[in-house]
Amino acid sequence: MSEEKFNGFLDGELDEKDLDEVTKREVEMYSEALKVFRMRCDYRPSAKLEEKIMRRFVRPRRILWEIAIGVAAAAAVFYVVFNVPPKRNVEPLVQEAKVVSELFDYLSLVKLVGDGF
Amino acid sequence: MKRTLFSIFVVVVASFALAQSFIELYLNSSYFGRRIVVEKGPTNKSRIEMVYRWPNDKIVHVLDPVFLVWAKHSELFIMGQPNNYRNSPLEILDLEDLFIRQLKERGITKLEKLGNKYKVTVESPSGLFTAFISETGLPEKIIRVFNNVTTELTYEHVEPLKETFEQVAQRYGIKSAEQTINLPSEIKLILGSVNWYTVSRLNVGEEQVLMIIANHKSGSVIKMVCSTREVTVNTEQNEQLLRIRGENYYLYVIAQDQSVLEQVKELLTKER
Repeated sequence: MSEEKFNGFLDGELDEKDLDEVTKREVEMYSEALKVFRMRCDYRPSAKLEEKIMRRFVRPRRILWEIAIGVAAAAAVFYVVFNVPPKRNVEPLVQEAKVVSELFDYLSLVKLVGDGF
Repeated sequence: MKRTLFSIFVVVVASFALAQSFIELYLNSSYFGRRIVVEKGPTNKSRIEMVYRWPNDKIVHVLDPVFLVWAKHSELFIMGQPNNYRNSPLEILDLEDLFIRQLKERGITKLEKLGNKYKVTVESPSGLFTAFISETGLPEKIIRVFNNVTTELTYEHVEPLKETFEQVAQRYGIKSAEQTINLPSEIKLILGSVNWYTVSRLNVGEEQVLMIIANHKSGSVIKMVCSTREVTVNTEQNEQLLRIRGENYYLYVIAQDQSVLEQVKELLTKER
């Protein structure tokens, strides 16, 4: 096969009559191969097959999404519960109330069980 | 005449000796008793208790109105509930302890024999005490009248006690090494100079404070406000204020009488 003549024919520079027999056969084979390739490119699988194939990929992906959404929702709830309510400095107040309550309870009990000093 | 005088003298000496012996018996007795305390006055209160008493120690199991045990042992006062006892910085004294204290300090004012028991009267600044004590030295009833308040301690059942303090203390789970209740020392000292007190909680601004109103032994009213933060305490025109800053508390002492406030200052300075 003359590669130069083959490309020249496909580029339209040469006529078929200018080609030798071997190159002509190669051109025919190339044309057949192109037809087959186009056929394969135009091929569309059946809906059933497409669904079967897609299910294999989509199902695990959906589970992953559901887990991801669940984790995100839990994180959001956690954040809201522990961070969003207004932060009040309640600890010292509770401690103060505890000190006063403890003293009050103690003095009340001494007064209750005792009869004076 | 001489014989009559001699007879009177013998009777007086014999009565005195008898009285001494029954008082000694009473002071040195160990007994278990079930008793009721009733206080009548502007406010009424009552208690039902079981008491284990030794000459120097005591365990009282209060059954009503609260379930509580308190004990006096080696000059130490313990109070609480089984497995949760704490040392009490304040003395816990029942009517009997107060009677014995005044009996030792003032002596007997009047003694009467009523059948097989004695009626002992003791007049003191803490009130007029009347006690009924059996010949065997066991108490039956103690009454105190003070400032229109009558307190009656009636023993329903008394029997000699053979168990030791340790045996009864073990039964109640009372241990010697306990935590002490955190009471500002100034409050403890001031309460040692009063006859009685009332205690309440109130809010000054956003701060919860403790308010103690007490009757000083001089008869004057003394108030204390205890807070964990500095607060503004308003006083009446005739009141004097003493501000004390403790380690983690503020104490405001308010007295109507300048001399009482001076006594308080002196007391606190002496103890520091």
